[in-house]
Amino acid sequence: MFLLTEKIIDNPSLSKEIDNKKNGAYVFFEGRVRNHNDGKAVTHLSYSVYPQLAMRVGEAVIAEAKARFDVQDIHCIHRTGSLNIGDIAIWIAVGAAHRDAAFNACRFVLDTLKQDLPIWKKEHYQNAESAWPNNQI
Amino acid sequence: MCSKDKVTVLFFAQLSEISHQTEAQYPIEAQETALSLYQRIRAEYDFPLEATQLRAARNHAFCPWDTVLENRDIVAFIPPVAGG
Repeated sequence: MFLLTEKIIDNPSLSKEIDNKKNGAYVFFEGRVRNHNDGKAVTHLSYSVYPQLAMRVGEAVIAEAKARFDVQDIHCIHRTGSLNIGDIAIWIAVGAAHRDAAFNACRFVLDTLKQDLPIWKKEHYQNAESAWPNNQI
Repeated sequence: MCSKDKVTVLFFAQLSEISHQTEAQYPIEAQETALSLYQRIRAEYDFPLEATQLRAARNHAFCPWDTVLENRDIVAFIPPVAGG
């Protein structure tokens, strides 16, 4: 499952959704908005998205991860719109029978999304002009 | 291909900010590719990003830059991404 949302990501209630008795291992990843980048104090940020392409990419990445790794469930949600410091920007949950596959699939999903997901971040700083940083792949 | 063929171009991030729009219609020439269209629009708005820094998309899927565009296509130029 891949979702985009403008709402605050509520990870505890999401975690219940992926409960599956076949899974002995769960790996959860939260990417949060930090208060600094490249030596500048970040006040908040805005994510813009190309939703049709992002949904297609997100679903394809999850399908690829399920094909590559022995996992049962993968859920991923990405925030869009305006985010404050500490907000969860991306949440990934992977459920598998064993831990290796769960860790590896989670890393694969995150790294591939950072490379391909058509989402852009405008960072707003305390004492500098806003900028559009991009992921260093 | 006829002279009235048009595509819809979607603008995101810096490209939207610089051009002050999120989408626009553009007439296309015979054998117009995603690359030739981007070069035309880049010149119009003086976009700082070269095509080598972007990816192209046609009808909501990534496409090669040499893709020949067709009437009513939806085209987007994808600046370097920053999700996650």
